[in-house]
This record gives sequence, structure tokens and C-alpha cells, in this order.
Amino acid sequence: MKGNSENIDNFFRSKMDSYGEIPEAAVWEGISEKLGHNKKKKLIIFMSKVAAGMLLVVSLGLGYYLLNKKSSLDYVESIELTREPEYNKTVTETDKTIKATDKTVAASDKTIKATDNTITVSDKPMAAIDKTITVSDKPMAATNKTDGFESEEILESRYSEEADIAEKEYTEKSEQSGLAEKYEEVPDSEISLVQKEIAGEGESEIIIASEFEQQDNEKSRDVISRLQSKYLSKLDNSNSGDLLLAERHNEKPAEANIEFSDYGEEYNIDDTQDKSWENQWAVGGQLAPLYSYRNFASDYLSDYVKDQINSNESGVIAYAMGVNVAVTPGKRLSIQSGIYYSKYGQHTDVLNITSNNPEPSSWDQPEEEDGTSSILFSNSTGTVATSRGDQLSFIGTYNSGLNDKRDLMSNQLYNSDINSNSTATQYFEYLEIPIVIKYKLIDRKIDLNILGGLSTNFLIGNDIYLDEGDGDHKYGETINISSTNYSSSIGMGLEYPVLSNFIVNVEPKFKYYLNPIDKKPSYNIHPYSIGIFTGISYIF
Amino acid sequence: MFKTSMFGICLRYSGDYNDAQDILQDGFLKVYEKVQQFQFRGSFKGWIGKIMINTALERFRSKYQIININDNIKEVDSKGNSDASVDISVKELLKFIQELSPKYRLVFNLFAIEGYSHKEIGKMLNISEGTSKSNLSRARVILQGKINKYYKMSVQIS
Repeated sequence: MKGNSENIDNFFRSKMDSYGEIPEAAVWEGISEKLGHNKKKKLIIFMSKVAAGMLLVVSLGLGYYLLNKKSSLDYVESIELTREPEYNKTVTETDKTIKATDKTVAASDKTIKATDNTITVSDKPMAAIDKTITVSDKPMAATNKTDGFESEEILESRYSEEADIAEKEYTEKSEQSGLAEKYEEVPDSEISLVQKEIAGEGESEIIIASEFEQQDNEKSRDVISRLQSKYLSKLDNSNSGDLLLAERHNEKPAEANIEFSDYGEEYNIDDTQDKSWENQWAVGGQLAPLYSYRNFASDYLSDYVKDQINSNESGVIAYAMGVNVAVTPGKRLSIQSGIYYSKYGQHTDVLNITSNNPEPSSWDQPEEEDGTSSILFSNSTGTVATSRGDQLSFIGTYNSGLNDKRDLMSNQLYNSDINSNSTATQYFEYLEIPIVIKYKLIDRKIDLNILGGLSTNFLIGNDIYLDEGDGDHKYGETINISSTNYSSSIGMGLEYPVLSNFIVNVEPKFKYYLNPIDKKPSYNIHPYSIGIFTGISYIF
Repeated sequence: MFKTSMFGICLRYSGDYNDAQDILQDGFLKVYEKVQQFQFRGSFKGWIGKIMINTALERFRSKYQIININDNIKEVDSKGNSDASVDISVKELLKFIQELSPKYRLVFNLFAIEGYSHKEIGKMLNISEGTSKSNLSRARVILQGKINKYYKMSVQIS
């Protein structure tokens, strides 16, 4: 009987063992297509990553441009709104002052002449504070000249006593007020203060006027009002639209180019101060607790098995930390990079282990260098390898939906002695190099940002810990997972300045791996994490 | 390189030509995927062959649930023509194998052609040794019957 059986076996073996047949070319086309498709897929994924990055940059850039454009228009409007009434006000005040002092002015032509000299010179301090100092000897000279006029007047006696008195009063009061000296004595701090105010509000004439108005001196008021009226008359002659345009674009106005040529310089100062954010650099550090898990997709497994796997696995709390450097190329825009260490993972809640079986459970398991067989088990994220073949014969996740006890992934049956009290935790450690773009939505004491970016992540650690009821023990590692990965991130950020150059930030971020980290074509695992990054930055 | 012989294996483990092509395709994709794991122990052809067989088994598992029935079917004697060396083409033999039910086909291939023991087959297919033995026995009977039938027909024709 046995002989017959062996005959059959031998007969078939001898005939079939070396049997071969040339498969259809379509098979190879299918293979190369699938392989090429994978490459194509990779290329498409890569291109989509690049496109997503570019889209993000373009949309943020466009948003920034539009908002910036709007704020520029607002600025012009605000100038128009704030300046016009001021001119009117000044005109009214000037009229009053001129009226009040008309008598005095009329009293002495020479005084007016002298005042005119002062006014002419005083235009420049109004225009540019910097030049005030350089031209400040002129008011001095003007004052001297006034003195000179006085003596001349006495010698020639061409003027009435009233005029003489007025002249004297003027000269004395001018000396008392120290108007001319005032120009020389203006301390730097005051100049900068005035510059600041000019830069902030664009109210040069008012600031200077008020500065002078503080002098309790009618003559001074007279000088100022004359100065104001002269300035205004020139303003009236100029095209206000051109002027505003010139102020914006740092150009000389078409008609008032001589008188207001220095305004451009003023607004240069203004711009410089406004652009203090330009190319601002910051370095900082961040730390975050993370909740990490994975998105699992498979065309190979049935929906039922996928549901089972999902119900048997869960996310883990891990952490990330790193240092970053940021540059601010736009008022609201900043680009950040750095090096981050991130730990992700997942938990397999119920593992079924069959012990005391000296032989490996699966015939195609690779052999270790020392000859011991590896024990493999698969969960959604790859296959786990360990050298503990002598202690554990089979480990896997239990498919509770079937009557017979069968592994979820391999569909293999468990032999016996199932220990279902075990759990496993897989950890993956990555070194991440992100490029993050931040856009400031709210620019207040506490800034609010939105942020998005891409990151290249290098696998630096890969461990699995098995808990058989007596704590975590390092068991092995997940095999066949990618060493270089790409992820995207999106989030929000709050920034609060604590000291002069330090900013505390809190950034809730969501990260998603763009490529599947496992190399198996039949499964797609994309880890993701939600973390609250907290850190501090130092601004240069 | 080994496509002819590998396709031969796939044909033996599959129910039909198309199924065999699918196994071959999946198997070679696996070879590309796992080629880094080949440790140059033994022949490369043997390693690829194992992958093909494993692919066939996986395909079988995904299609059918192997029910672990603890059947105590005694090894059936393969009555009939003990002289199997009739003039029969390989194509016919392949057809006979393919006509076997999947579990008989797998066990027969693994035991009779690949040379695995019942213990090994039991583990591969998650069935007991007894089941493996009874399946093999049943497969032999069926194959013998087919050969006998073929022999009779060829005698009648001639």
C-alpha cells in the first residue's frame, strides 16, 4: 500500500518537480507596471508635497500682500483724515495769532523782517529735525541780526517810539524765551522723541508748534504763527494729493519740492522704524507632549479585520522637543526651521502568546545569526522581529470574530495556551528637520499665528516593548519600515513677550506623515500626532 | 531568470492558469520587496521558490478558511494501477493536480513534491498532522483515480 503511495508521489515528483512553463508577457508587464506604479506613486506623492508647500507659501504670501496693501491704503486715509483737520486747526490758530500779534508785527517792519529771517530758517527744523541742529545757528544769526536792527534803529531814529518799544519788547522777550537757543539746546532725547512722534503720527507741524507754544511768550507765538502761516501757505500752494503720494513713496512733491524735500527723509526714518521686524532672527527651544497614533488603510484586508485591528490597537502618549531658528522676512510672516526629536508610537492592547513551543510557528521566518529563529508578529504597523525564539513561539493579535482562535494578520491558528494578558508598545524615534511658515493673524500684546509646514524625518530609534503582565520588556523591533519620511504639520501659535527680547510661545500642532512608514505594499500606515508645543524664543 | 520554473510551481499550487499568473506576479513583487533579506544561504532559486509557495499559501488562506477538524481518517489505500509510469503528459498531470480541491492540492504539493513533513505542513496550514495525512491520502486516491481513468481511456482509444 505504502509502496503504491510512494509510487504516485515519486511519479508526480519526477514529472512535476522540474516542470516549467513560460508565463504570458502580460505578467511581467503587470509586475513592471506595479513596480513602476509604486515609483510613479512616490513621484506623485513627492510632487504633491512640493505643490502643497508651494501652495502654502503662495497663499500666505498673497494673503500678506493683500493685507499689506490694505493697511497701506488705511495709512493714506488716516493721514488724510488726521492731517486735514490739523491744517484747518493750524490755520484757525494762526489766524488768531496773526490777528493778535498783527499790531506788534505792524509796529516794526524791521522786526517783521527779522522775524521773516527766523521763519525762513525755521522752516527747515520743521521739515527735518536732524537738520535743525545744523541750521540752528541761523536763528541765532537772526536773533543777532535782530539785535543789530535794534542798534541800527536807535542810531538812525527812523522809527517811532512805539516801534522802538515794540522792538525792544520783542528783542527782550526773544532773549527771555531763548527761542533761538532753544534750537541749539534741544537735547538728543527730545529730538528722538519728536522724531518718534513724527514717525508715529505724521504731525510734524503740530508737534513743533506745540513745542513752541509752550513758551509763554507772545513774540514767540508770533514767530511760530508766522512760521505756521508761511508753511501753510506753501502747503496750500502745493498739491496735497501729490504730497501725500510723495510721502508714501519717498518722492519729492511736484510743486512743493524745495520746501518739503526733507519730508522724504522724515518718512525714511518712519519706514525704518516701521520695518524693525525686517529680517529679524530668533532662536528658541520647544517641548511638547504628544498623542500619537496612525491612520491604517489596506486593500488586502477585509473591513471586518481592519475594524478588529483598529479596536485592538490604540495611540500612545509620547513627546517631542527641539531647537529652532526663525527669520522674519515680512511684517506678519516668519519662516522657521530647526532640529526636533520626536517619539511616536502605538499600542497593541491584546496580544496572544503561545509559550513553550520550541519550534517556530511559521516556516518562512528568517534565522538569526546564532541559529535561533525569530518570532515574528504583525500588527498594523509592520512586522515585529525578536530573537526570543526560545521563549515565545507565537505572538499575534487575536481575531475574536472567528470561532477558532486565529491571528488577525496572518490568519494562522493559535495552537494552545493562549496568554491574552499581554500588550505591546511600538515606539519610533525620529530626527525631524521642519520648514514651517508662520503668519501672524493678530499682532497685539499676545500674537496669534497660524502655521503650516513640511518636515523630513529620519528614523533613529525603533523599539517594541512587550508587557506579559510583569512590566515592559524590550522585545525587538519593527522591521521593514522606512528610514526617511516626510510629514506635514498645521497648527496655531500664541506668542507672548515676557522680557525685552524673550517670547514665550504655545503652539498646538497636528502632524501627519505624508508617506506610509511601512514598506509593505498591502498596508498603508501613516502616523500622526497632536501635540502642544511650548517654548521660548530669543529675538536678536 | 527563473520565471519558467516558478510559473511551474505556481501552476501546481493554483486551480487554474489565471490564478497561477496572479500568484507569480504577487510572488515576484514579494521577491523584489524582500530581496535584501536573502542571506545567500542555500540557492536563490530555492528561496524564490519558497516565496512563490508562501504566496500561494497566503492566497489560499485569504480565499479559504482552513478549518482545523480533528478528523481521524485513516490513510486510504490507493487501490488501482500501481504502475503509475504510464505514458502521460506533464500537462495532464498538472491538470489532475489543479483539479484537486485546494487543501488536497496544497498538502499533496507540499508533501509529495516539495518534501515537507506532515508536522511542517500542519504548521504551515495550521492544521493537525492527522488532517495533513488524511488530506494527502485523499489526494493520492483522487490522483490515482484520474491516472487510472486516463490510462483506461488511452487504452480504449489505442
